[in-house]
Amino acid sequence: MRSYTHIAGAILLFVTLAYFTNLDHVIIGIFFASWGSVFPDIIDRLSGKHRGIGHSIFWLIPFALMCFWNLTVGVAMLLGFISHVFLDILTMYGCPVLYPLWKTDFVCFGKKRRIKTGTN
Amino acid sequence: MESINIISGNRKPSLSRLTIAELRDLLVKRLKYKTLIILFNHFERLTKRSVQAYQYLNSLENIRFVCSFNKNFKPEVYSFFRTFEFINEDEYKLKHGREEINVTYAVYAILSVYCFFIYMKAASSLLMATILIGGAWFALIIFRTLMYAGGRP
Repeated sequence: MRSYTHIAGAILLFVTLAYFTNLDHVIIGIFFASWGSVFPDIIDRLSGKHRGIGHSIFWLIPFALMCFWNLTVGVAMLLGFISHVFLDILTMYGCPVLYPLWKTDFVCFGKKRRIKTGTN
Repeated sequence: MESINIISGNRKPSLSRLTIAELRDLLVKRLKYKTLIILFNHFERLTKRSVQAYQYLNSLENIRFVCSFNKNFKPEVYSFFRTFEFINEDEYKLKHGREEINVTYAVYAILSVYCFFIYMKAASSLLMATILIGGAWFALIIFRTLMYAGGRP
């Protein structure tokens, strides 16, 4: 999926959850949620393998720890990352959620109904 | 028969009267030290009986099989299938999705629970909840009416 799709998904998820939990500093949160949503692709670009280590849910641990430092930033990053993984699961190739331990892709829907995107 | 004819230079025209076992032995005998590569399509059409002959030939060092398949095959030919290696493994995995876990129901459940909580938050009272559901239902009816009247693009 393209980065702007991930950013839109992350903003939608963050705004609804901010509304649900009455979270403060929504604008800052939107910024960090957008950043968190492109984080997996940045890590994968650095590591050289798309849908690799960057898409692993083990990144949730450092993001969760970030919540102790700043709740809004931590939650926003966490939601941005979750939305990225969630949207990638809906695509043709799925997402290797447990990457280093298990390289199997997690997918959703039947093959014909999966989302075909501009990128992998 | 075609293989035997090719190997023996079409010197034995009356092969049609021979049984499968005789043809098989003749092929092995004629082959000697040559390497024979047998290519065929539609692995799924193989029967248990034909696979028995093929498996014997496959056990020989100088006979190699290359084949294609595009449907599910019979379970009794699986032992023969296991002796093959995939040439286009990535393409096969992409098409058949064997190496993937489908989490459709988990995704549906997560989305449903998420929508439930958002709805509970939006509907602060019973009256509000009724109005919201009624509004959503009304909008859906309008949408369906427009789809019916206006048609699909």
